Amino acid sequence: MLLTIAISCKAQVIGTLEQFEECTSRPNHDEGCPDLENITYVKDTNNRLDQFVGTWKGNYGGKQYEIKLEKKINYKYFPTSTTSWDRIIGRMLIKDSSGNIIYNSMNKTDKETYFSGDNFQHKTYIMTFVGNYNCLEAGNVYIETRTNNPNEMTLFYSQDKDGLLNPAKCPNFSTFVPLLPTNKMILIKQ
Amino acid sequence: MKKNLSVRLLFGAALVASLVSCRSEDFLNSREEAPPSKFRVFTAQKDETINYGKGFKTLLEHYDDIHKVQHTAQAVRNALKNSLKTTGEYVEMNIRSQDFTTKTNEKFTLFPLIKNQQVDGIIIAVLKENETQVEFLKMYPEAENYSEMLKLFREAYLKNTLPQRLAAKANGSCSSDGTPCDTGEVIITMPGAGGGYTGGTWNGDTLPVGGCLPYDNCLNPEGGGGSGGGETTPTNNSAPVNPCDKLKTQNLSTDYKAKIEELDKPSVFSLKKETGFLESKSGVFTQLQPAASTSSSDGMTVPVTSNTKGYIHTHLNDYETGEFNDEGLPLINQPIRMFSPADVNTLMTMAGFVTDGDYSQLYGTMVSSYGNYTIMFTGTASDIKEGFDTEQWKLDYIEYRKENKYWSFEKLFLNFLKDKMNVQGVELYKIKDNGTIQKKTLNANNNVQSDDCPQ
Repeated sequence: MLLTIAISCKAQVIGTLEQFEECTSRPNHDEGCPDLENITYVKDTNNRLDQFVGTWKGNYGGKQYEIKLEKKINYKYFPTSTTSWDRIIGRMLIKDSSGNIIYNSMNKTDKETYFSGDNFQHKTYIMTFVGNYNCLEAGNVYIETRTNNPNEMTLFYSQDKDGLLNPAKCPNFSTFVPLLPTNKMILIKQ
Repeated sequence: MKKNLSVRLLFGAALVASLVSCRSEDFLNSREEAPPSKFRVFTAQKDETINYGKGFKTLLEHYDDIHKVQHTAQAVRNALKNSLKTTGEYVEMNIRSQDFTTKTNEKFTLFPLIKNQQVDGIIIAVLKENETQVEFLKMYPEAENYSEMLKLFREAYLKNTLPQRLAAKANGSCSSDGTPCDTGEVIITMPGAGGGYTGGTWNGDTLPVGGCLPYDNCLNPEGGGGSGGGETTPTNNSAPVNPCDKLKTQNLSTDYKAKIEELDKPSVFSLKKETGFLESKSGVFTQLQPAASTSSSDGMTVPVTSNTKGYIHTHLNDYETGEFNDEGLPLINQPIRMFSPADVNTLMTMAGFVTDGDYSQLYGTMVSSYGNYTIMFTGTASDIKEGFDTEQWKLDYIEYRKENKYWSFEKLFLNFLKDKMNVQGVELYKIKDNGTIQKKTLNANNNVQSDDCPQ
């Protein structure tokens, strides 16, 4: 009896990304999904994350982007979390039109990239990115590989609107341009 | 002789103060039985029409006189006569606008604020709460028609002081010792500020929002006419905060309810940016300004000052990003309809301004389709923690959400507050549509427990 309890405490309950995508599409998803609370590992059972892995390059709005995406298995941001996930972690090297580096997270640890995956919405994978938060740069990044060409990927950023601006910290907010484009850009797999 | 006089003055002031404080205590003790008294100056005799502007002048000049403070030109003149130090900023009560009445039947009159012998601002004298409370506010420059009204006051002030200045030949001042000009009574017809008034407390430390008693002008001296509308009454530092009571009162307030109703609708939740109001300690609501932005970024500025009582803001519904996937389906952004670490930070900033240990008034409210929630600060000075508005906290909250997707927003917030922010003294309340207020806490298993506030 005791042995059974000990085993069941340690047992990992595997769920899928699809189960959690269904959870967030429920009309009452603000209430959470208590039926999934026993899941301890959210697995990419259908290997849908693999299509994004690699280095991608593209240009948009006078900037040159190099984005390196890696798949992490059983990943936790907080070591104390009860649930781990399969996720994409992203690193970026962004240059302006003159070739000057304006952003570089290539050598950052996983937790310091500020750019990591969440889950799918249909075919599109949603990642989250926090940049210059003084200027409220934080939000979702939507990536999707082209159905007819898996070496092409579209990407765009959509800001979270819950930021409270302190004008002293971002005096030029009205002209602030986020690092990632808010319209779809195309990246090519290297 | 001079010393004698000042001793007598001090004694007199102490006597007045002690009388006032005795009366205040009486008021506090008897507030349940006696309704607040109206003001004598605002009570019509027979067929007389009430001149509110003149009433405000009488009240403030008399207030200055009995409390030995200076808010009016007359008080400055008296101080100069007695060789006392004078204030650099005062209201010229002789120049004023016509009287205004708001939709809720509050009366107000505008007066010019003088600084360095010039009109520097506009003071709004308000009679409210069924004509039992008087308040003096400084108009916000954002108020409708502000520049036009300021210009009218400047012209009137200049016109009525110029002859004296020329006579005094004292380059811009009425007399060499800085005596205010004698303008005589001038009433200017103003365009008004959009049917209401928009201003913040003026000289709140020497001039409380109050009933008739501090003005020594009660129609019914036996009735309550005490020193405050409750909001600015000095409270006992050790008085326990009871958020249930505070929230119950707040949700009965017409002004507060009107603002919630303005925000609590699908058309507001489906906007692409958040919106809201800031409430001052005297109960004036100011619309929160969306920061000027490009199409890519939105933000709201919450300019907290020592005069801020609370803020109300929306959190948005799920919204379309404007982009579509390869199959033509719209891509959606799903905001967290719950307080963020930055929202808690704003409440902490307000708490940081408190100097008398009374945090009970402070609140932050979030209005969303998920429900309406209020956070209250119930801790002590040592519980005030700031710095939750950073990149790191934004990231941590996002990651926490991602790792605990199956949690409700309530559970997410309460656990993050406890587990990661390590905040004590911030409590979460849900204000339900039927008026029930629920305290939300975590039980031993870190699940949300809801307890209805006593009715």
